[in-house]
Amino acid sequence: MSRTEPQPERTEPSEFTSAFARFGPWVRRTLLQRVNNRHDVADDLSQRVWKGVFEALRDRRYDPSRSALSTFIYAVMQNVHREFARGESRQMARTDSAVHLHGEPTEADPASLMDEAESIDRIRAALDGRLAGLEPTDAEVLRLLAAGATDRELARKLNVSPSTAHARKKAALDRLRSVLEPNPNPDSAERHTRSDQQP
Amino acid sequence: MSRLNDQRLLELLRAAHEVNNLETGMTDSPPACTAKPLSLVLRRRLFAISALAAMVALVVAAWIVSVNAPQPQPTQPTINPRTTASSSTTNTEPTDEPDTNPDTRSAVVLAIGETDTGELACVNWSADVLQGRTIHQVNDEELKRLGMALMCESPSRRMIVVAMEGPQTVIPTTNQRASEMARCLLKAPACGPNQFDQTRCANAGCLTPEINVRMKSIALK
Repeated sequence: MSRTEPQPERTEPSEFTSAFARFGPWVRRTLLQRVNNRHDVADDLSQRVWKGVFEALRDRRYDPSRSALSTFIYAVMQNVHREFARGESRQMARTDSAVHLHGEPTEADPASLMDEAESIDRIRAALDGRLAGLEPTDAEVLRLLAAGATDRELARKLNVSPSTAHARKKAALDRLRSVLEPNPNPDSAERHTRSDQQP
Repeated sequence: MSRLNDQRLLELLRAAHEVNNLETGMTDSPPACTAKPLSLVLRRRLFAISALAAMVALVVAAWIVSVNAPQPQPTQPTINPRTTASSSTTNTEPTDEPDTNPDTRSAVVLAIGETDTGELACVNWSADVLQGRTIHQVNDEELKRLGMALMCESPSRRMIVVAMEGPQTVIPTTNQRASEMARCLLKAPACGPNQFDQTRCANAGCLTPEINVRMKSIALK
């Protein structure tokens, strides 16, 4: 399999190349773990990720005000991997018939990728305590959940019973939901229609 | 954002955790599967060596104390806390370096003034103006107000307001770093007064990919 990385274009050379240099190894390593160390598959998926990022930068589908580029790259990677996993399960389901539909992945909706990246960045802000409305204890529970803690691990780390840990988890998730989905306000729609770059 | 059930929230939380790893774990070398057994063996060896070294150091220290002790009773060694304290010094020098914990993220607003010749007239910055909100929650009008509030008095033809958030290690929270970033932005063609474009200006290579940013160019003359 050839490893042809997309060449940076005139418009975003430094951003793409620096992002590729910084996050390329991590993206490939993560994908490698997710596909059980199949190097050829990880290389292929990695190329799709960077192609997606490159095209998003080139076509200006990435909005830096809505998420950091690193978060957007992660969202693209998630999408590429999701599509791959779907394709694999579809293929497994159809092994009896001789039909193989494992071709090119479906193109991700750019708006949904941007939404995904924005949601992740808002969660990061909540975990860092930069979104008002979350108690420090909630943030602690959420950080443990983000690290993959189960209810039992949560109970052990918080030094409470499993039922109490479960209740705290539910409460923290409810508060996070209310912080992320506040009552509709007139400003919320504004950022999606922002186009006045010039005074 | 659409309906968020618990499952979706947990997915997003894990994704946020992974993005933090993406930003902070760039220097990891080999994949975890090969690193694990090696690091375990290495860790055990290091532990054994350090335990041995600590024992030797304790014996030597006890011997030195007993030899050099001014008290005439060598059978009753006294413990002087100063001798066991390491040579730690308190750094009283004022520093304007930010907290360098790569996990900590913060938000900063920069107001960059540009002279008639396109040079940097001034740059002011503040880390407190967003008051616990993210830049998503600041609309254009407010961004403009924040910029005007931060604007310095040097004569400027234009002001660029930059609200950004990201890891503290890459956010400009010192005067020097703020001016470096301001100069870089003013030099970038996509940030120029006639062709200012937020997306292209943000991608001009002055900001690192971990930062999310909102910009506004405001003509003052």
